[in-house]
Amino acid sequence: MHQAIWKYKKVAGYLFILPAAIYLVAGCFYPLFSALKMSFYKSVATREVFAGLWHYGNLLRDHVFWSVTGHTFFFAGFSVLFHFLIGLGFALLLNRNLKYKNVWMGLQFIPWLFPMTVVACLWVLIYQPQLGILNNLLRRLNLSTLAIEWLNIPETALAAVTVANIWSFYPFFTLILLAAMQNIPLSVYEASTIDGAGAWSRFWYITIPLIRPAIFTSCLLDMIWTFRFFDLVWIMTKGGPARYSEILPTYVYKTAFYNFDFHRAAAIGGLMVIFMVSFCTLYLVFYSKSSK
Amino acid sequence: MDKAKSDFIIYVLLVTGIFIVVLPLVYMILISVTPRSLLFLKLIPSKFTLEHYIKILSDPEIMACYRNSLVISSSTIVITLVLASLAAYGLSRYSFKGQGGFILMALITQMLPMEVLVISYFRMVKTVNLYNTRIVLVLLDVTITLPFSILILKSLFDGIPKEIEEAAMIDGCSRITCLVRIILPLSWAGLSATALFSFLMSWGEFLYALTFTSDHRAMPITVEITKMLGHYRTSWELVMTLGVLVVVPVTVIFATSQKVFTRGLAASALKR
Repeated sequence: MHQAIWKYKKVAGYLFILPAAIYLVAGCFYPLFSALKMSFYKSVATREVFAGLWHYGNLLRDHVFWSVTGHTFFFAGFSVLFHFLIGLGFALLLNRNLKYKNVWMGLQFIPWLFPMTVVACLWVLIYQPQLGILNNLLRRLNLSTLAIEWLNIPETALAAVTVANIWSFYPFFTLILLAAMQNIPLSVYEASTIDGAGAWSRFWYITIPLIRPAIFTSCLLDMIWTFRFFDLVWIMTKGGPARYSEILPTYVYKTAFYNFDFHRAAAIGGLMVIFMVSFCTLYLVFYSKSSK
Repeated sequence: MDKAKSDFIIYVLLVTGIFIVVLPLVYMILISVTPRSLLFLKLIPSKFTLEHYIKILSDPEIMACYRNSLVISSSTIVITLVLASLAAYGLSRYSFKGQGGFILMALITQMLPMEVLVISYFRMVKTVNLYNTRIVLVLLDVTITLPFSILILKSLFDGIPKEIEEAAMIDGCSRITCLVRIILPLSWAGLSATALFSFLMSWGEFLYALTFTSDHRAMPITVEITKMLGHYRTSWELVMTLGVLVVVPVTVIFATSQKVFTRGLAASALKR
């Protein structure tokens, strides 16, 4: 009887996922492939001509592309590293019986609730050379030589945006790592305490190894998300000064909508996809391993 | 080291850390209530005012954008929940070929670079003539919210025993009735978590809004606020005031449903 109900009409399962499947194919995969297809064409006069790997060849020989790629790895790499460190710090502090635990948890969450555009506006003001709180603080501390135009100087622009990005997204790690820590049975810790393990060795030999899957997953996801992250850099510096804080997402956008070179923009996008596919492959390999 | 001492250190570290990360928010709020003449003189002004709030709230263009944001986010939530609960139910209650493929597809769509998609969207939007409408932003926001909603809801439905439905179906319930009458009420916590994430994402979405809107007829508040950053003179007090107003709805919703929120996300990220 039970069997009969669940086998009844195999088609029904497809019908349930059909709307979402159509949506995702039409809304995500078709646009992706049509953009990638575009990257193999170029426009000559008003016509589109097949150009093979012409754009890709140009890009790979262009030093601008490589410096922008370098910036992207800098931005994503440092963001992920510090998201992880700060998130881990908060998760460790919150992983015990505290009074008002939910209040602490909620407060450390606040940056994550900010829409990215508000984060950007807020940090532009913080870095503002004359009025901003950062330079005012530095002047107060008699460090006026350090009170520079953070977002307008080649050496500091990208780092300044990275700091804003670190502030805005570390709570994701707190959440994931804390949840993973709470899945560790207390008995493991009790046993180790009886064996005479100190706080440090418990952290290093129990906590870290047991939450390693969560660390790995969240770092990879964050890497992928930050690699394609457009909003902050766009609002705070537009990639400037010159191209010193340009990252791949803003480079694609400028090429497409400022220079109206959609084909070349699509090719930069294609190279971005290649980078991201390698991250994804890593993630999926790991995911299939961990779910077995 | 005794317990009281180590607890004290923990609290000191925690409070210091939270103080540092919350400082920018406090800064923003303080500026929004400082009278114009006292701006940027002291961190905590000697007088407070609500003039900036009144100015923002009585600006018809800004309020139109605010309404756009609300309309876009709520429509996104509705469409997302309908499509995602159908798909999640199908994935959870039937086994068929291509199921793994579909889940993989949902995982991959979360990682696609939006800057590349936007190139194709630009052509599509031009063809269907939807430039500067709220509809196009809703349609595009759903592509962001749908994949993770499906994954959250699937793991949620998997946790509901099939026996409940079997009993109902013997009594003559159809599949859809089961979903609407039994499964959805049982999973309200997960549904609200999904709705909250969808809200958070569509409320904050920037790239598509920047590309496909040009004025207050469709522009959401997130783009409007960046337009207030001038090249020469910016009225920072107004930008910060609007910033507070944009953050408030999210914070209120979060504060009232923190548990649902954190559990939902942790579950989706770990179980997936």
